[in-house]
Amino acid sequence: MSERNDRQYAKEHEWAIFEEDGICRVGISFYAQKELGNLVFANLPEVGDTVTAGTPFADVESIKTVSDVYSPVTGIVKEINEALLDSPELINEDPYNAWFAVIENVTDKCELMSAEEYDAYIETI
Amino acid sequence: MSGTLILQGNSFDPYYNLAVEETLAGYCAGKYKALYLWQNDNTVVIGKNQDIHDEVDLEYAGTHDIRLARRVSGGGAVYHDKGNLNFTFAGSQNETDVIVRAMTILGFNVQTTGRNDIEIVSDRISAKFSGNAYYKSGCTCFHHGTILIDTDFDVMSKVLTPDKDKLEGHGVKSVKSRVVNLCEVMPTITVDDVKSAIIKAFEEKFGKSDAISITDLDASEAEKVRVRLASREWIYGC
Repeated sequence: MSERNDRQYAKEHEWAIFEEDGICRVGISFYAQKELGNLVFANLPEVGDTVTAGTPFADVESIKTVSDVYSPVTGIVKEINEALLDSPELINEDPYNAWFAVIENVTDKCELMSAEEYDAYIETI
Repeated sequence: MSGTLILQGNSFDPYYNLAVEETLAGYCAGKYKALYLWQNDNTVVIGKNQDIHDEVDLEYAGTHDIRLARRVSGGGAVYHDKGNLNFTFAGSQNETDVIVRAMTILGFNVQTTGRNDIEIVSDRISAKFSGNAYYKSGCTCFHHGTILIDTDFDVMSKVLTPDKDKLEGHGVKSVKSRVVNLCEVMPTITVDDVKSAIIKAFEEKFGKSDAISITDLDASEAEKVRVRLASREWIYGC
C-alpha cells in the first residue's frame, strides 16, 4: 500500500483529514505528486475563500504542465500552507505532511475512499 | 459526428484565440479529441505562473504594439507573429508524436527534448522550433505548442527577457533556448504546408475527422473566457 490509512482520498487524488467538528485538512496523494513530477509552483486559495467540493481550489505546475487541484470538501479556507508557495518541492518530498489548506465550516464533501479503496482505484487508472 | 474534430482559427487576436482554445477543451472534455490550428499576430504569451516583469521588455512591447497575454498552461514566455503556427490538441494530454510525424511528412529530421520541446537535427544545426505546454483540470485537458516557421527573431529577442535577473518574486523562469525557423532549413515552406501536414498526421493517428467551425462552440462562454483572459488582473497578476 502506498497511501496512508490515517486519512481519506478523493477520485481527483486529494487527501482529506477531518480533524474536529467541521474542520478538514487537505493535500494531494503520494500517487498524485508522483504522476505530476517535480513541482515548480503552487497556487493556493486565500484565507476566507469559499471552496466547493469537486471544484478546483488550487493549482500546481510541474515541467510545463498546470494541473488544477480539486477541493474534496465545501467550506471556508481557515489556513493555507504558505511554505508551499516558496517551496513547492515539499509536496514531492512529503505529500502527507505538505497540506494545502485547512477548511472550516465544512458543509459537504465528495465521495471519499479509504486508503485501501484508493489503492484499488489507482490500479484501475 | 466522429470522435475527432478539426478547428481552424479565423482570428489573429490572442485573447479571442486563447478563449476559443479553452472553450474547445471544455466542449471536448471526456467526449472528443480535437485539433485546433491558430495564429496570433505580434503577441507575447507567458506561462500561467510567470512574472510578466521578469519575462518581457514592457517598454519595447508598448512601443512596438506587441500584445501581452497569459495562458492557463505552464512553461515559459513565447513570441508569436504570423510566421508562427500554434496547435492545440484538446481532450488529449500529449500528442507530441503527431507533430513529430507531421515534420517527418514535410521532410524534417526532428527529435524531442527533455523539456518537452521539439528540435530540428541536422549536420549543421540542432535547435528548437516547437515549444509545448499542458493544462489539466479533471477530464478537461489540452496539449498545445508553437511552431516557428518564419518568425521575426529580431523582435523576439528584444521583447523576451529570460536572462533578466530579479531577486524577489518566485515565478516560473523561462529557459532561453537556441531557436530555429523551419524556413531556415527549407526556404520554400509555408504556414499552410505545416497546417496540412499536421492535419494529415492527426488523421493518420485518429482517422478521418470532422471539420467544425468556431460557431459550433458556445459563443457566450467563449466571450466570458475572452474577457477574463484580456483583463489586466489576469495578465499582470494585479
